[in-house]
Amino acid sequence: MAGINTILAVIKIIHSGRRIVWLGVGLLLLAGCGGKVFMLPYIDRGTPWGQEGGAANGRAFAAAGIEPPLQLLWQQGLDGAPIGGALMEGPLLLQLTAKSSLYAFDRFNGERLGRRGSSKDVCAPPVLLGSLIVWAELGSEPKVRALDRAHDKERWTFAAAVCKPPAVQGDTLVLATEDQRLVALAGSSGQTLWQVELDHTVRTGPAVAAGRLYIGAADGGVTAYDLANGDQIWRQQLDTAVRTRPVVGDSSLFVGTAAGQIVALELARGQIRWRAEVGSLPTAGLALGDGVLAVGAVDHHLYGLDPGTGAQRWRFATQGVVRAPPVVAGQTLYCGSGDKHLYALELDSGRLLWKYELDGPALAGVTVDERTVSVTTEKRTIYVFGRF
Amino acid sequence: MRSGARCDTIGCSLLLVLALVLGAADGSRAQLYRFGKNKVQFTDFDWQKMETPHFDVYFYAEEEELAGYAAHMAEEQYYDLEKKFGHSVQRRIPLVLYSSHIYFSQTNIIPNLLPEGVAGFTEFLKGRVALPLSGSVPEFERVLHHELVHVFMFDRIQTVLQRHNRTQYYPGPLWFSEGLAEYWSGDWDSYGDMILRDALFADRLVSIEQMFYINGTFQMYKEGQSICHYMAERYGEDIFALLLDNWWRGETFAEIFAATTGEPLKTLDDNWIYHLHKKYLPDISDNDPPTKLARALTTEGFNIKPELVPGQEGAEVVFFRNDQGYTHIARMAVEGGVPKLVVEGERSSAFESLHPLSTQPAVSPDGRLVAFSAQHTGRDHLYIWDMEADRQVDKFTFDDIVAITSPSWAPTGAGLVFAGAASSGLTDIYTVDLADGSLRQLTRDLYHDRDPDWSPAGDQIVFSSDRWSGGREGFYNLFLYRLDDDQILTLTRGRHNDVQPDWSADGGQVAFSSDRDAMFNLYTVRLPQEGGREPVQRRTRVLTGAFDPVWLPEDEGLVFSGFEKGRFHIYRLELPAGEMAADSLREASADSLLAEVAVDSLAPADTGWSLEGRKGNSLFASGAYQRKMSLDIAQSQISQDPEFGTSGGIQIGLSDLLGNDQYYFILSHISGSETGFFDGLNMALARLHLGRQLNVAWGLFRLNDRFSSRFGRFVREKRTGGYLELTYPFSMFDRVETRLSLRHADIERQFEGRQLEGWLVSNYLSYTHDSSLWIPTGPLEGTRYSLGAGQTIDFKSSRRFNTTVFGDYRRYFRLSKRSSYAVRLMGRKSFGDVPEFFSLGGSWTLRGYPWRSIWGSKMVLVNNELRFPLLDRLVLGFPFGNIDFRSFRGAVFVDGGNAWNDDFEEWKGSIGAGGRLALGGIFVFRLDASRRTDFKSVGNQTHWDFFFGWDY
Repeated sequence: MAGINTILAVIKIIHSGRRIVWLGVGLLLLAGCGGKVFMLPYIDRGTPWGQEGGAANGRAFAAAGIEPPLQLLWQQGLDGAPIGGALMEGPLLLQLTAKSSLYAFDRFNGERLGRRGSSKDVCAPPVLLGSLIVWAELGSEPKVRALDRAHDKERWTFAAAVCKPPAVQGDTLVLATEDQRLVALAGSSGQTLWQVELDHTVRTGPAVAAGRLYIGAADGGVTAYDLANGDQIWRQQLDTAVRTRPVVGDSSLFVGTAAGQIVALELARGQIRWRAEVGSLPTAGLALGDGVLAVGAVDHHLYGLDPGTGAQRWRFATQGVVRAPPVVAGQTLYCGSGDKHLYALELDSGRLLWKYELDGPALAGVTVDERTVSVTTEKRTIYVFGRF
Repeated sequence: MRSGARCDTIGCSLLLVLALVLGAADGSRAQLYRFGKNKVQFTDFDWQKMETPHFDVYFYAEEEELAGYAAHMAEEQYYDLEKKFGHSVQRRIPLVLYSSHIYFSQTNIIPNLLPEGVAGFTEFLKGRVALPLSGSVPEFERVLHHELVHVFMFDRIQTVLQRHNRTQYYPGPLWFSEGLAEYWSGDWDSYGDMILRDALFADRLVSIEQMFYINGTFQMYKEGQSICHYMAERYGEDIFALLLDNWWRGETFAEIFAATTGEPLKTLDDNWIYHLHKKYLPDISDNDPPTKLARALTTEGFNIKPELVPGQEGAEVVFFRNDQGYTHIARMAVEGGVPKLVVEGERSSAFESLHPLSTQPAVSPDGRLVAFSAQHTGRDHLYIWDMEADRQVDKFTFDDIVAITSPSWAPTGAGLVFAGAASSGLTDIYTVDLADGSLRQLTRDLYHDRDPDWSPAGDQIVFSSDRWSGGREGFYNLFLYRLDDDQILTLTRGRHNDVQPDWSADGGQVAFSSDRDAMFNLYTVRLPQEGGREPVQRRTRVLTGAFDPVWLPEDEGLVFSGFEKGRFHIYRLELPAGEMAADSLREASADSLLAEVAVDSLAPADTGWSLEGRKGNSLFASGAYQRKMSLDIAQSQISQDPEFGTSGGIQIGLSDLLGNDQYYFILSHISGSETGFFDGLNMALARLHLGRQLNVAWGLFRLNDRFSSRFGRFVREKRTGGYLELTYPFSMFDRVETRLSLRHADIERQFEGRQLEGWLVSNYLSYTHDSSLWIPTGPLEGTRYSLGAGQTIDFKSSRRFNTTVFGDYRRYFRLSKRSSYAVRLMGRKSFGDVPEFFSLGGSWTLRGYPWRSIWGSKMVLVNNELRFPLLDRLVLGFPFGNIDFRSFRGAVFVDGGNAWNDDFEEWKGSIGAGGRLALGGIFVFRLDASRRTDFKSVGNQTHWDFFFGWDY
């Protein structure tokens, strides 16, 4: 079976000479590393990697994303529903499941490279931090663990329960803990750089950009901190709980609230620029693209707003609740829906470009880069699409 | 929901059926009869099915229009709840509709008897939702919404738990699931205020921590709804979706709550109670409980819906009263006194239910007759009862009217007006001529017309209805029906509920109950004269609620139902001489106290509202109901017994969606059998048809080994055959049963050393009555009996094996509210070549003697038991927490009896005392200490009997 998969992978990869490098890496993994996929040599390419609700700044934006129509490259079954979207780096695709399994696949041919299990519950999606992969475990002694992928060794742990997607900038990892703390760690050592006690619980992860950290809280407060020392820069009080991870634009910060509002705040001082209604609970992440702020909602719709005014530019109806954060890739918006479809819309108009029927609801985020699109369904199947 | 010996769960029902399967197969034993009330299928429904995008709607032809509305409502509500939960239900939802609660109570979807307070239910074996139309479309919509919240909640929790690898389903506390269903299905209303305000001021408010004490009560529903309101205010509307998303993160609701909000549940508890104090405490400054402003005529039990009885020797009132567990119509002087029984309800098939919550009795103008509706043979009948002669003088039924409420006499005494619910589910106003029973339908539309009252002049009828634009949201106003030109005029108007109108003796005023000032209070309105405007006057300032006003003679005051300390009682309110000045009312409180009815408001009622565009039957495909069987339960078990060896088996239950057809299959094997694999194999198949009044059960069986040890000594019997059982319930209380079985039997009666073989035919006939009233430990009042006879014949030789007759009579005499004297008389006799044997001894029969130690082909048993409460609550403290038992009762008894073959010899008896502790369901811990007696002397040795089970 492994041989057939390898041949298929070769057939696919010869369509692109650039992928020969990754083929080599993949073959190395198959031949030499077996299940120890996490010993994959880390290559710092400086490329953004996907995570739940978008990249570190929350923008869910890939400047040179793949454009539809797409073809299914492969699909694989998992042991559980996804915790967040897949992580993609180079030839590697990682997917954490609700059964505490971290799967690794060759993202081009679907070869399963390994799986790491845990007896502890997990609820936050993992992140990649240089050569480290960081994830959080719950249980009686909850902790955040950093594993060196190059040497398959645990570098450090940090005692905290974390259920919100962490944010990373450079070597700094920021965690919103379940005991209402905001903690910044040095990614390389796990040392605490600073921590802030929060007045209220948070329902989403933080976003970082340009040396600042932004987070919304259950009481409706949106706060900006200095990423270097945790000092508060400004705070703005909204009417209801913040339900989306903040998205950092050029001069605005965007958040979605439990009342179904999208709010734009002035980035420098937090003044409210506009409010827009989407009518129902927005998805956990917004997507900011070229002239469009996209958001999904549980009323089955995807909305495209003007980031400058909040005016609705388009609305697209799916047949199910939209809980998955949308992702922008170039001029295309990707999003999964509870109606068991993956959609690709034209960012500017909301026009349907392409859709694919999945085996179950897609409620976790889509991951996109310039060559592939990944989505994992509640039926425990991961799909990867690309173009031959 | 306690109802006689009926089980409360599907699983329990299955156990009964398994007993039936094996019992029917066990045809040689006649004593297997069952008590319990009957769920009677009086109506044959022609079921149809309509398919919408998310629902399979099951309905019958008469309610097709309702089904069309409901289908659209369900789809709209699905979309609303999908947004609230952020979740889609990944299956089709079966929605079973009934056009009346009377029809709904016949459902076989669940085995329980459904009390009138149950407005709908969601069961979780097949995810079915069943509900009736109460007459009010908005209320139907609310109940549907409530049940769909349960559907979504169940599905969401199941999805989340499965997603996170949790195998044990945790439903959460009942206050939360019902509170959320209430919160998301409708606005907070005056009834909620009434319950909470009363609970607060009467010091009866139950905290979240203690909520299980009031599980399932209306107060729990309203407290739960209030907590959900508060949670939404404090944490945001999305807190509920978040809680459900986090359901996997804790094993208790407190853990899930803490993981979601970061706060302990105790904080919510404290803050919510403080919030209620802030909200309601100021109300005491301007309002009082009923006892502070009116004279309570009743002080015990539940008393509601008074109606004046005029009389030359002083006026009286009749009303519904339930002080002992049954509802009856009582009568007492308006000056006070001891209530006297007029009509005894809920104990006989004629008056199965008096519907105390939805209707009221009506007294004829001469004060001699009382008219009331009561359920009988699957529909309401209108009864006329002579109070002086203490007998029924007339009874009316109407072809298409299923439910009858709120009769009111014409001033001539020649007719009645009432609200009637047709089989279509719609409620309208009718009059009936008592001379010939002819019916006249006054209204004919989808509005809910209720509480009609005939004017003293006889020319018009005042009634309450939702036939105005605000009625779509469930608000009722008062209307006048002018009989001479069939015009309907608006009497009151506003976004509040004006209900239960009652004309004054001179016909110039109408008293009614209204929540126009947030609490249900009594108001009066004069009919405006030409060119004038008449104020609506508030007559009470009740802190909780005042309902059902009726005028005293000379309009000197009002009698009404008031709510206080969790109970309804009858109150008498004196009205000041002359009317309360409108100006003083204005000064006394806000403008909202005072409304005015102008002559021009007595215009023809507007067109109200409609459900245009919701007639889904034209949009959704429908067709005949196709019966498909699906799995209810499948379970297996294995056991090890030192004597029987290893035994194992599976039990499978299948039923159709409506629960009318059921299959049960049992396969088991006892490996310890000495005669090979097939000899140890037991199989039984039973099929039940419950969709008609005549219930039919048949089955096939192949049973073997020593499964029967009825009296301590084993009978080995190999049986292969089949049976047919017919049960015909006449009412909730009475039924006749017959059973026929044919089997090949190979019997080894070890106790008498006989080996028998042959084709045996057994047939039995029995009559069973059960009108008992139960408390958790067993019956408290009423009567139960079963009489029957049967015989077993060898089919080939025509040899009569045996003939058996049996009788069991049990009567429970109420001594006080919670004490009773119970007596049981039981006798059995079997005669023939192979007589049956009966046994005595043990906790359920003859105490003080070992379990089934006395046996013979003849048996007589007399039990006398005094049952009384010992402790209302027994709290046992453990390191891990307290265990709280709610019913700890005592008993003293005298038993006597014997079982014998040839000579009776002597009575064996015992005297003793015992305790009962209800642990839930059939698990009643029983411990009896007794000494034997021959009724001449008493032994000096104490014998102990310990068992789990209800009292006889």
